Amino acid sequence: MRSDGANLLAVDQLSVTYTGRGARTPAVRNVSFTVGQGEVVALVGGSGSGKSTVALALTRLLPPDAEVEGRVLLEGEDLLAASEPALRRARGGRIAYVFQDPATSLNPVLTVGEQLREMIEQHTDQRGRAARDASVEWLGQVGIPEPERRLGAYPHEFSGGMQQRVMIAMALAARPALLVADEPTTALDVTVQVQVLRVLRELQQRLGLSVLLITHDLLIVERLAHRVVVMDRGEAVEAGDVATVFAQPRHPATRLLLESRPALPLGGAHG
Amino acid sequence: MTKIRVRPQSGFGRLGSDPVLAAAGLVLAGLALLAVFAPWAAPYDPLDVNLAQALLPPSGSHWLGTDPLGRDVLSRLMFGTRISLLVGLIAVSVAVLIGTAVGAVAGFAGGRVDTVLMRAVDVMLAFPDIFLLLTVIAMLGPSIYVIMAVIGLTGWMGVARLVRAEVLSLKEREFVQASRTLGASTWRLLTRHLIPNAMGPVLVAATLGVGGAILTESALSFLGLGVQPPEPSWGNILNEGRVALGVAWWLIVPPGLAILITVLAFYIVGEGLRDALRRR
Repeated sequence: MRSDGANLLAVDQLSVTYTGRGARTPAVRNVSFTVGQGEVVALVGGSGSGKSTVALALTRLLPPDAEVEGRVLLEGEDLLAASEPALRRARGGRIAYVFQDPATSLNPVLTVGEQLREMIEQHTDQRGRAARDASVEWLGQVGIPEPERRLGAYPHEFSGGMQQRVMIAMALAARPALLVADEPTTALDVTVQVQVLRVLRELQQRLGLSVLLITHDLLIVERLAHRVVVMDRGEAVEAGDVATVFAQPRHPATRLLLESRPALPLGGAHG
Repeated sequence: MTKIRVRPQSGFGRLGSDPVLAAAGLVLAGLALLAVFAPWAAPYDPLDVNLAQALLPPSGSHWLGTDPLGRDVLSRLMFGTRISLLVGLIAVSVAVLIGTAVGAVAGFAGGRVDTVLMRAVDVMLAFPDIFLLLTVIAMLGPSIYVIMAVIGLTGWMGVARLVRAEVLSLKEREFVQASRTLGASTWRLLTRHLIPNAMGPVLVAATLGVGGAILTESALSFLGLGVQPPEPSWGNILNEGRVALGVAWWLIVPPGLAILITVLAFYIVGEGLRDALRRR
């Protein structure tokens, strides 16, 4: 399942500085990492460590006062140097995002089917009937029962876990090269977290997805990720295989994260 | 964290529990039916002059009597419903279209664009509508189309402010940000995500606006600047009745009541919609 061949994504010396109100505030400093084809890489760190900033910087989604330096190579092409139309196609089409809170990430006045179809028609060449069929199929893929019937339902008619599945379906329906999951389970109930994680892991293995997983929760890292990059105060302080890093943490920030993990018998990443 | 729930049934549910609101809703439904079916429902041709039958009081054959030219007042009122509702709806549609476009662009773009557009709104608000109406009518001549256009063109500023305020808060909401990250263009963000979510308050304003537009049309027609006789509108029926006020109350009371009840019904339904939206 994991091929260590060419890197799908290579982030090279990425720095982000906020320049608002005259002051220069560095948020990310010289971060480099790679994500291989079919690989799950976790970007972990506490609040304010810059992990979400890295995620948004990949497709230049940061506010205009953010200064981004370095290179983001997706399939060899530098996205930071790309034109705005190319970037817009890349957003969602080549790099798709799933965010923390599905309840607020879906448009409340459009049905789930409309939102899915919009994604499909915008980023693939399926239209009309074909796009609708694809919507049904993706809802099924993420484990939503009776997907045909649920197409006409509005987001508020779904539970939190089901909403997040819809978000995952929307993100994957555009067939992106890379899925960026930014705290995908943080806003959910603990029992629902487990279900959504299971869906993500199953899809990742079945479809060979490449995933950049952003989280502060090391349990999720253990269950999903192959490699981990630890961030602390805007810098990447440690990187390596999940098992190695967790067994022998070298940086204090990594140790702190490991110590703050609740001791639950949940098993390892591939068990 | 707030979850918005769009429950259409909450609005209709209230219709059942509030008798005044239900009555207002029924009045509007009845008026709409009357407007559509006026040619079949009216007992006489509203333009049919019959001087032998002039100024008859209400009776079995003319329920609301006849005017100085012997035309049936009830039939003229029924056809007047058409004009009044049409003017109200089209004028407000014009206002909503312009107001939504201006407000959405101002709220979304922000910065200098916002400042320029909103100052334009202030200028329009400061401009005395009635002079603008009179000037345009003096130049183009009174007609129902000029009335609709002018009422629409002077009534969009409130909608623009509402939509701008909604868009300002909506554009920071996560689902708008999320669709941006999934590659939505500016046009799509505006038309699919921002404007549809801003429509609640606009619907309320539009309902209230229809009542106001009907009132303006009646006033202009009463002054002889609106719908031109012999075509009947509530305002010009009143105007024609003015000359016979002392002898024929039935020329004044029915169109006056029609205007009163219709405008009141629009206001009550508008307020009901506002409550329903606030409640959700």
